[in-house]
Amino acid sequence: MSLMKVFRSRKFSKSFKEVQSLDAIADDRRGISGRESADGTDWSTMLPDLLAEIIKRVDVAEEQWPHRQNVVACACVCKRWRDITREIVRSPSRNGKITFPSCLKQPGPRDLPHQCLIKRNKKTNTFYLYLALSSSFTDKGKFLLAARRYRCGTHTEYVISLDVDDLSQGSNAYVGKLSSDFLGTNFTIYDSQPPHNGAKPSSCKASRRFASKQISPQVPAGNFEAGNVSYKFNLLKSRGPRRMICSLMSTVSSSMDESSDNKYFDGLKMHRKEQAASAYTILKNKAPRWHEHLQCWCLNFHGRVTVASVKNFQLVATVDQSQPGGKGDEETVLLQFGKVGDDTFTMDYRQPLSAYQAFAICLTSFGTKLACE
Amino acid sequence: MAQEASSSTSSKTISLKTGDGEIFEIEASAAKQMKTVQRLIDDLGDDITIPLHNVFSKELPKIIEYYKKDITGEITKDFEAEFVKDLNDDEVKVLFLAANYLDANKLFEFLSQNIADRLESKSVEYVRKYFGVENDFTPEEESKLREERAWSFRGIKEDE
Repeated sequence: MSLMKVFRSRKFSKSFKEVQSLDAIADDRRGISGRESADGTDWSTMLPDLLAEIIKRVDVAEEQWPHRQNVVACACVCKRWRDITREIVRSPSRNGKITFPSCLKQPGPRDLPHQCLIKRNKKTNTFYLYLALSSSFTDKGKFLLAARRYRCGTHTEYVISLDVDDLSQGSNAYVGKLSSDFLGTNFTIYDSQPPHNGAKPSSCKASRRFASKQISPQVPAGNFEAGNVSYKFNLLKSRGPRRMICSLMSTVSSSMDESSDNKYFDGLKMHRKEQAASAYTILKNKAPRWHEHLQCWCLNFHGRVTVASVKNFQLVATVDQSQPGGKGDEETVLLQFGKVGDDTFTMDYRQPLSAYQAFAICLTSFGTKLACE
Repeated sequence: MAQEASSSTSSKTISLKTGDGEIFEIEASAAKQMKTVQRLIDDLGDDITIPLHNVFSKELPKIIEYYKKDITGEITKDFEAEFVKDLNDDEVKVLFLAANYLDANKLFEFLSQNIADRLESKSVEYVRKYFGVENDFTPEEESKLREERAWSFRGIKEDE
């Protein structure tokens, strides 16, 4: 075929158009918006797909803390980067990984629990939660949350925050609080964010005080009830394990394998209609067995708890929205807490619990006054 | 010229013309690895000089070098390390965009990883400069981000 014929043929002109269109936004998954110059200006118009390829690789390379800081850095470059990074981090394959502070209110991993440490400072009534980075109980790890205990008249409050130095309700770093009755048998967990659409902030005095200190008015001010923990003591025996029941408001739907793990935190953006407005997760503590020979109550903590204490517990679910039919299997330990040193405790948690919920529940164990030793 | 005994396009070369008018030759089997080029060959035939408007004479030889090695099955970690060793950040960027344009998957994956590696532990400001993006957060958003980043740095050597 002569060159002239080729140029005139429709086949060529179709291809020529294709070449032209390759200069424009590509029709397949990748594309660039044309390259005007050899300098850096073309990057900023780069399609999200291309950017995502790079950020995905950063996410995979920086799986563990402290390197995970780099993923957080990617989300601080500009709005586009932030959207892309958060989308990547949210994908189901990331399975409970903690990257942003908002991940603390998302369900933990499906299979192996996150192993954490809680350190108590008796002098300042402060508790610190860390994600363990090694199996040692003395290396602290990645800081997650801090809590401080305040006595308010007849009840006690634990204010929970992202900022170790600012444990006040008015702070931007405030994430929620725990409130207990006088005896420390009944606790209410509050969240600074609404757990679901239509949730109303509680109208207690504390939240009104909080509302006036709100810095960013876009976020609904107040404390939203997010759960409850109650302790019942074994009246038949003066010694012995206490019974715990926790009910947590959950927005987990039965299909956890969708990329829906931000629902709890971004309750306002929920778009799944079948989401129950207030589905619950109900947990109870696993009953220890009496060990006749050792003359003590025993639970198998798999080496994660080394000091006997009435504070130690394991929680299993009776109602679990992440399981088929919402039924918990009552065998899988979803939250385990126990002493390993004078002021050091381990906390292991998994889906459907979030780090925040797990921490709040563990704090109640410090708060019960009628402890049977 | 590499002889590919099993390939039906063995010892055939394709002419590629860059956006700045230079012509380079590439083995047909290597051209096959670049889907954009292959599509053009399918449409235009392999006797025509294939025009590549968005690839220039500075980077095309490097791409050809990569795929020349690829068709002989000799791409090793050492080769890849050597390949990017003397490339500055701008050159890597240009190659990355070209690999994307050419739909040259293997090279694209490799360069994506290389850029991700180059960004490791770099500051947010460095990343902005590298990609030429503007910081479009409001001051209020910036202050929240600063807190988020402060949180992300927290915890390893704390003594509480």
